[in-house]
Amino acid sequence: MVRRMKNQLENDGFITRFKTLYRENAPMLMFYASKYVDIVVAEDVVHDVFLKIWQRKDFLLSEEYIKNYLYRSVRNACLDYLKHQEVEENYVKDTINRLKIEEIHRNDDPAFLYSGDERMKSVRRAMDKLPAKCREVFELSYLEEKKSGEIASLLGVSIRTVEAQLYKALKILRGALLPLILFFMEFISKIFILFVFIL
Amino acid sequence: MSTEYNIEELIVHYLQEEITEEELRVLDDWLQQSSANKDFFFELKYIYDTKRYSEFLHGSEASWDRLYSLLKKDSMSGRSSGKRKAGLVFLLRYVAVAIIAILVGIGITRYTYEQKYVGGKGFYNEVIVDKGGKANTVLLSDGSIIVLNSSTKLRYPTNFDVSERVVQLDGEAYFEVAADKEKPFIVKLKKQQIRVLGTKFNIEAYSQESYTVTTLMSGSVSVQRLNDNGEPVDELLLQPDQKVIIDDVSGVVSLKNIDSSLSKSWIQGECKFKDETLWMITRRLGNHYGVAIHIEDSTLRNIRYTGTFQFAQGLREVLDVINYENQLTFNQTGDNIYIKRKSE
Repeated sequence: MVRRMKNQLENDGFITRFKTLYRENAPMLMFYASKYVDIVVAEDVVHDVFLKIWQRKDFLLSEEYIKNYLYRSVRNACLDYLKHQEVEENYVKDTINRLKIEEIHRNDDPAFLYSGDERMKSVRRAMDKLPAKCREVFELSYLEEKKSGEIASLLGVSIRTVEAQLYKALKILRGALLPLILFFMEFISKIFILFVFIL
Repeated sequence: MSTEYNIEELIVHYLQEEITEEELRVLDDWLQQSSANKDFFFELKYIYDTKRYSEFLHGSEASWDRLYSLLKKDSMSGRSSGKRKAGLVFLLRYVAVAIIAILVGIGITRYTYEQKYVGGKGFYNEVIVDKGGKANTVLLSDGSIIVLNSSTKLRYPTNFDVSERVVQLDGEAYFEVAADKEKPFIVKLKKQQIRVLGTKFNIEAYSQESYTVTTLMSGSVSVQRLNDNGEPVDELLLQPDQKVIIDDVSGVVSLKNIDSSLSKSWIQGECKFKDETLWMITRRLGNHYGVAIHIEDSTLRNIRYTGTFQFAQGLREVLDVINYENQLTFNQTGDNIYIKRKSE
């Protein structure tokens, strides 16, 4: 009495559960990936990972396990992608690549996937406390994505001034948020392949 | 360090993706000078990058639609279609629905499903994952989930008993057992049984080995040794993050506190171990790849390693990595591999 179902999507329970998992985690994962690869690739990476989970029905396992797995897979996919970009002979691209790879290793914590909202609230709160001029410039860049040149002409100041204000803002924010940042960064690289030869 | 550029500008240029080659060289130089510089730079970048967060806050329906069509495409492609193989779902229904087991897997070398009748005891189902096969998930109707490693056999009855839920294992599996105080879940091995109420644990019990390893992640289990009549003679209660190794031949029981997540790394195709002897590592590799690995030299057997492999790397590559100090030689005849110390 075995009934073979070729189109597994007919099982509603599975799809619902899977979609929930996707909704809860994909945005953060894509945000994470978009730091290192462009936004289209980021979605591809995340979708690939979710496809695998669907095929293996891993989403039936516990949440804690899955979140960890999702993070690891997306992280590794980004690393792979960046590593394959390396043979470019273009100093700028290669260096930025290299720095991104280093960044991935530094910001290595699956807890990144949680509490994104709290993090954002903290950033906003800290932003509210910036000195007036500084805040104005920073918000134009951070919230409205304007480049320095635009901001300069908008406010009638030099580009130098804009850049100095942006830097100042970042420095202040960093000071205010340091405990938060350090929580999410690990400076000791995790053991992936580490051999300790103990006789 | 160039006097023309000031680092503040360079950092801002970098973050705004407007940095020139010359500027980047100076910045990179500055970064390489000290880890404090690097720390500072990455911290600023971390903050700046948060601005993109709102873009992703409300995951788009369009994005889900794209994934959904990938899922559809995948489930409809036949087995012969190269890399993406269809996951076949076998749904078993029985009149007296006591168990629904949903068995799924992808890229499996071979798996077998059989239904057998054992005189007087009712039907049972057997799932076999062949050597080198990938992890397979069995979902039982009580909500329990069992993930089977390669070279593993699982037997479960078509109907669970009224008073207990019993399955039989030969191989390695990771369990997430749904809690049911009325019906303890029992995993029967060759010489032991593991009694659970509701919990997460990993059992490594290949019948060709004389030892069994049970690792508890959360909840609690009782590991009971059985006499020749299959009756429990003693028991050991495990706490979370504990692992017990029982050698059926010598009777030696070894209880350790460990990081239990190492034990189930095989689900992701990884073999993770910490301070494990070469002997134990090669047993696991041998079981997974379906070969017999022999280490004659007992001093070699006790060398301890910590590390991670991907099973997909293939046995040869894994052995090469173990041999990173080039102390060993490997000889293979058929399914047997002999590890010896390299003569000076």
